[in-house]
Amino acid sequence: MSSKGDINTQISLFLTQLKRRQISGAKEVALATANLLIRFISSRRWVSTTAMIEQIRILGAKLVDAQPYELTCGNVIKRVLKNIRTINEAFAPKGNKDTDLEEDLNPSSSMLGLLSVSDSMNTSGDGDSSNNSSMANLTKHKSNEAEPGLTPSGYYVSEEVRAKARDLRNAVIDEIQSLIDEIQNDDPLFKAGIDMITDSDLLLTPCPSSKTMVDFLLKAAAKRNFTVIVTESYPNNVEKAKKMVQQLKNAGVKSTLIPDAAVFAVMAKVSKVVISARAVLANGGCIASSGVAMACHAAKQFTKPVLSIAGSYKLSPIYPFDVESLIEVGNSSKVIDFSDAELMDKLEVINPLYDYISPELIDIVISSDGGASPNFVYRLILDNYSEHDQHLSSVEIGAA
Amino acid sequence: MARSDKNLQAVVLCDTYLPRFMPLTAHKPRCLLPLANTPLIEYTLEFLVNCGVSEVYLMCCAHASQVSEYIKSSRWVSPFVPFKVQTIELPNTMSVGDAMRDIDSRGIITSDFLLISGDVVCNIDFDRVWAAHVQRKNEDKNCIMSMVLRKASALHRTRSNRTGLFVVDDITKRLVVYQRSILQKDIDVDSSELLKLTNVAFRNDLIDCRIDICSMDVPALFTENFDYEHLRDDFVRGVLTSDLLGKTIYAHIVDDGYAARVESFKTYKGVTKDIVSRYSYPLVVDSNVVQGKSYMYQRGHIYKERDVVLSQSCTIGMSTIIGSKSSVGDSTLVQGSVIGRCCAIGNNAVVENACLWDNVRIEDGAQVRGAILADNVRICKDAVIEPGAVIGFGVTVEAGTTVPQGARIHAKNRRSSSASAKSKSKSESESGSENGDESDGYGYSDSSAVISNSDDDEPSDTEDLAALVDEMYLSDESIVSLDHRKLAATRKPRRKSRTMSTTSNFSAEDAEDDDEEFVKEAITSINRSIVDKHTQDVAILELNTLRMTMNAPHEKVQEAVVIALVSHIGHLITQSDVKSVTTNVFTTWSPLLRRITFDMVGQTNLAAQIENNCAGMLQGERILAFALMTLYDTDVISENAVYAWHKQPEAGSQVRQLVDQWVEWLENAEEESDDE
Repeated sequence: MSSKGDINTQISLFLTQLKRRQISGAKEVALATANLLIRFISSRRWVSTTAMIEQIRILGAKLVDAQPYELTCGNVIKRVLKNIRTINEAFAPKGNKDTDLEEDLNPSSSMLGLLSVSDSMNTSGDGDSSNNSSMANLTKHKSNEAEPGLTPSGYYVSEEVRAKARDLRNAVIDEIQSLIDEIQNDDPLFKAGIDMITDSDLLLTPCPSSKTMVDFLLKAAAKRNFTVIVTESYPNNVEKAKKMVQQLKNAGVKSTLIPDAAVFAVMAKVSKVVISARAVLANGGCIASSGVAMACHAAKQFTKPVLSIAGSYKLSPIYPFDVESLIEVGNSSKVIDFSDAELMDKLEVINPLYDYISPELIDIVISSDGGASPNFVYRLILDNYSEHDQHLSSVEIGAA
Repeated sequence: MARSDKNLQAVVLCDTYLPRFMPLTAHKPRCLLPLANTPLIEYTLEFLVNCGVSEVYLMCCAHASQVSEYIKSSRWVSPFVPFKVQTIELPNTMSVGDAMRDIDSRGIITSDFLLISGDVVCNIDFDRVWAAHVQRKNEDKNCIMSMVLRKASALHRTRSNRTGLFVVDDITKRLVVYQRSILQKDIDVDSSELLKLTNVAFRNDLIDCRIDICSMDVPALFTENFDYEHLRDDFVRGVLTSDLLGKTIYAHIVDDGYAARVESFKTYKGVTKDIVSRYSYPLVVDSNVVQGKSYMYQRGHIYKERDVVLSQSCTIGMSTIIGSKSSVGDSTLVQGSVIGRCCAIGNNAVVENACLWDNVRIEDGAQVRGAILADNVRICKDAVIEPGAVIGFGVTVEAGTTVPQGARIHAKNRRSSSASAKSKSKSESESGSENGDESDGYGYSDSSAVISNSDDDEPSDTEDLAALVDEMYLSDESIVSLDHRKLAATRKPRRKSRTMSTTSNFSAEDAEDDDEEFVKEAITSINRSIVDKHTQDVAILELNTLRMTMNAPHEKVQEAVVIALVSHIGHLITQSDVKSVTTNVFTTWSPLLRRITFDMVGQTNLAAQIENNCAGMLQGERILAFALMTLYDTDVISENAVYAWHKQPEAGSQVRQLVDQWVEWLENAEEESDDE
């Protein structure tokens, strides 16, 4: 099967790119994962959602293991899994009636059509509802699982079933496509964010590395008149901080670059702290670039509001039991120059790239659906993910 | 980037044709030796991926089939790898030059290519290097090579002290002079060459990572000059010194990113540390780029793979890697070490700053510090391995033994690694007992295993071990501060910088210039004899000739000989114990000493000379004591001379402590025999 070899190559390539950090950044990884999933699903013929869920879970575990710190990769996979499950749940009760389903044109209905043809198959995965699966279906499932990735050869699959399989595939691909659109479109996020900002605000942002943050501030500047203080974010994002200030200046936004050490000093004058999360965790806490936690603690001290901006693809169903396992450690030579032989010998350097910000420090999490209290994040996560997909792999971080 | 539409080729030299990693390279090719639990070649190939290379040729000589096998079964042959890897087995090549000539004869190179050593760890941005090279080529048609050099510092842990001195035109970055290993104290520079340039930089702080962008002319030049063997010593120097050729070589000095090369045991340890401390990020252990690895990072640079078994009471210190299926026993301390897969470490053991490869067993109470233990090594109960030791494949170190600093042990039976499993079990059954002289004895005891004090087989290798001692660096530092006028003026190259530590001795007395000159010359001559292993007669002849021509007194001859010998000992004691070294050296050279010592006064004087030289030296008192004992035993110095010398006032502060006891014993023995 040539297409299979092809997709496997693409998967391996993506895995190594993740490992080499050639693809990095929450959004970029999310989009790349979604696109890979489309190719993965379109490369095969699927007879049941169970098999599809199973295969995607296996793939997801591999991707998550490859770069456990990029949580959005897992998020996208879990979102897609949830979509597949939702479709089933919604239509399974009506699954006995073939006729109206055939005519229904929306994607979910073609899924339903598939269900009906495969004789009231229990399409839900992993213990999801439905209990009327017949023996025949069980064997069918088994054949899928025995040869993962191989379409069961067509000798016992009727032409009709094959057509349904195509429909299922298309349905899921449509779902992923709309997810991609959602990831790419930051407008609802920005709109919700701009509502929180007023004229003559003095904003402090400790996240110069975030592209979302730059875009947001530029967008907001068109509607509001405010001043921005950017922290230098030594040692990992100094260049980006300079660039960000430059961009803001060019757009006519008053902006200042301050060293990280000055955060507490300026906090008294700041009116709001805006941070950009890399990931929002199940308890409402965030993962953001290092230096953010310090700014949030300072804000707490001065009771200044902290707004966390995160596209909904950054919502992650992981609970931070082991915070350290969520934080990647970066290049030590950013702290001590490699040519400084003496210091290198005497000191061990640990240069964490991210900070964990606990939910008490955050006032509002702004996602595409609007603002929410960190306490409410668990609801958003319940809406977006299935509880069966909380952990894809056994060694996934935070699973401890 | 100009490169994307081009086919960039890379030639990887997997072999360096140097025995620096012996005895480990007897079983495995150097590029497959594990560095932080990943074969070296993986790092190089990873770098080539980032370079955007499209074709890779691996030139292998030693164990070439192993390299081919490895590549065949690795991920580098899968379709998603951006380049094609081709292994070229060259079992008959003797040097890098041969490999280059082979490349030329194959005609595989179609444009400028990347010549890289198979032991490079690097994460620099190659696009910039390439762009700079292209620009240089546009400006200077004669540019045939750009060398990538990483700015470090002279004493950097990752820098080999064999790296040469680069004299670079500071504006164009053209390489003017390349001086091999700075161990030569003086450098020989044509001042007229330098006067043409306005800014010249003498760089002794660079890591030569052996990443070169070469033009197609380079392999052809090797073919033309069939005597070129080494890339740097022969080729680069050849090109720079040739007036006819008119080709130029540029140095591309990078000061960000990580670039280093594993070329000796010293740099092996340095690079391992760098990788563990994440200076090479994103080339780090927990990126698990090689298939089948499952490292997870824990605070304090601790990397653990799946299925690691740690006792509750053991301590895992900073900067440690532990491979899958390894176990650590109760109350054991593991720190700053790399532990491979399937290693078993017993209770109450200590493993510090060591590198353990796969399947190593360390039994209860053993201590391993700063050593490299290859696959299947077994360290029995309470054995102690001292820093700098290298223990080869399948060696068993008997219970309670101490392996001295810098020792290199390998199994006597080098035939095949498959035999090792069998013989290992054999030696296991007789553990505890003296392993004796069985032909397949893998155990370490003085008779059965071969300890090579590497000084015997390759003189330059001692630098590795001597590098453990900081004082070796003296010469390395001082060169940095020399201004170029002085360098250009001194045209008399001295053989060895090892005499550096002693130069201070004679520079103190500045009265008689001629005698001074003689002493210098004589020391050089003796050093040469030591290094090149001349016979005593040759050495004596040389000394006498020198003495005649410069009309020097006998005392000066003695002085020179003693200085040379003592400093020679000073270097040797970094690897072995003082007693054996001193006795050895003085026994060997006793005929010469006898020839230059004539009467009581001479003998007394000789003893005084030794004392002067030992004063202030590391372990000076012991050297002095053993030297005098040896000279007494070999009848170079008589009893009376010893007494006469001993009555003289003490020169150094504490040098005589040990000797006093010996002299006392001598006197007593004398009295006793008199009494009888």
